[in-house]
Amino acid sequence: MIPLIFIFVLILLFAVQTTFLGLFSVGDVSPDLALIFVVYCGIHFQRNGGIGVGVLVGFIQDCLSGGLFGINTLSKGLTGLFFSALKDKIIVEGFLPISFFLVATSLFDGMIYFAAITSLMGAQIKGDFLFSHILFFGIINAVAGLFLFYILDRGRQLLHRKLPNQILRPI
Amino acid sequence: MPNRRTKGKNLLIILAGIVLVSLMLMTINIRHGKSNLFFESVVVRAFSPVQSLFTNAVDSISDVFDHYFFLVGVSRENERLLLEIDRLSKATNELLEKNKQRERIEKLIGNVDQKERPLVTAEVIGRDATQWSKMVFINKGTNDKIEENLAVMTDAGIIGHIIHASAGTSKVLLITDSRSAVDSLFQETREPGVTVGTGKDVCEMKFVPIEANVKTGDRVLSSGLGGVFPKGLMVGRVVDVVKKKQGLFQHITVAPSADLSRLEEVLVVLPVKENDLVVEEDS
Repeated sequence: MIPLIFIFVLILLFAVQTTFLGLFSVGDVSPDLALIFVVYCGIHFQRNGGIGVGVLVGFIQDCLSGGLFGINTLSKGLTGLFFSALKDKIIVEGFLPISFFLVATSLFDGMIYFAAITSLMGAQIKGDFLFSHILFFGIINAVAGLFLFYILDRGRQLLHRKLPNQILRPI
Repeated sequence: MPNRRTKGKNLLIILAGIVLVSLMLMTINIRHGKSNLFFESVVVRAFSPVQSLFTNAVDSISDVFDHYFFLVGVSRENERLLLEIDRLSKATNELLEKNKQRERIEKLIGNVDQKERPLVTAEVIGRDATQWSKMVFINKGTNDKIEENLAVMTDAGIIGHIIHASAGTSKVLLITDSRSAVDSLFQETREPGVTVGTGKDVCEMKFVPIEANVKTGDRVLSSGLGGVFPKGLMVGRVVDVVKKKQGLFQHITVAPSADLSRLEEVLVVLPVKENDLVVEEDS
């Protein structure tokens, strides 16, 4: 049952991301729901489940994107790995840590993408645009992330009540 | 202690695995160029019904808002539009006259007009799943003779080209994407250049010599070189020109003529097959 719910959430997430999320964009920047979801799963999946989620989400994102194939698998996989490995060693709960990690992960994601397309595909991107765009992207993700984290937390709480499981960490 | 060491070792193996798989995917992508990847088509195909469903739902909701809630000022808008129709009717008459004159001249000089290219209408059903790339999904694919490297446009002008086509869905890379380049020229001066995407909502026209006469508002058209975009399609208008004293080229910003943030229906320009031309000329 849990894998089915997970697939449903994933489909919903990407459907929203690729259809009407652009309507809520600020300055041509909209939040990356996949990235927020990977950070959430990295923190809240038991053991190393977040790594698998990161790779899977990144791979689907690559398929639904016009960029260099494999780049999101790399960035989201590494994000999942980072949070799966360090969730017990660092503070990952609370308003400020979540915001901080979402901004940091967005910067990492953006840097990987731009480094790849400039070096491997020869695209030309201006430095000032790159920096301001990625920073703004991080802030937007932090704001949207807090909202999405709240919704996912409520869903996880409900899931534990209805279907007690060992996949997700209990609240 | 050994447990921690084993855990660290496992994480290193996973890290290496992720990097290796990603590099493999990137290599496949670069080596295959723009050809279809099997799993890409599968995922796109799996998601396209959901995307269509969501897009239709959003369209229906926005339609309700447009038709019932935003009626304020419709009467004034109507009066303005009636005046606009009068003005356009006059302009159409003048253009018809000019068109007939052009046809007569072409007949005289024996210039055979280029055959009109067939077009396929498609609906935009989704946008790029990442923030970084400028791409849209359309609901037509190889079933409708759509293939890679075909130009995509709206009535306002070029919007991009097909980078991936599966059976019922295709991906269109927009001209504002940082990997996009359209060989162009200015309508008035016929000065050539290359319109490249910036990743923002505007493009840049590159390689225009410093001495070329370019001003704000100039129209930019596709030159037909490169083989993707047919000649004479509207690309955009110049919104900013910077001429630096030291430098060979001007810094020209071009705003796309089509509104890329509100794309709904688009036209895919199909290639003219040699056989079609021969048959039509014979007949």
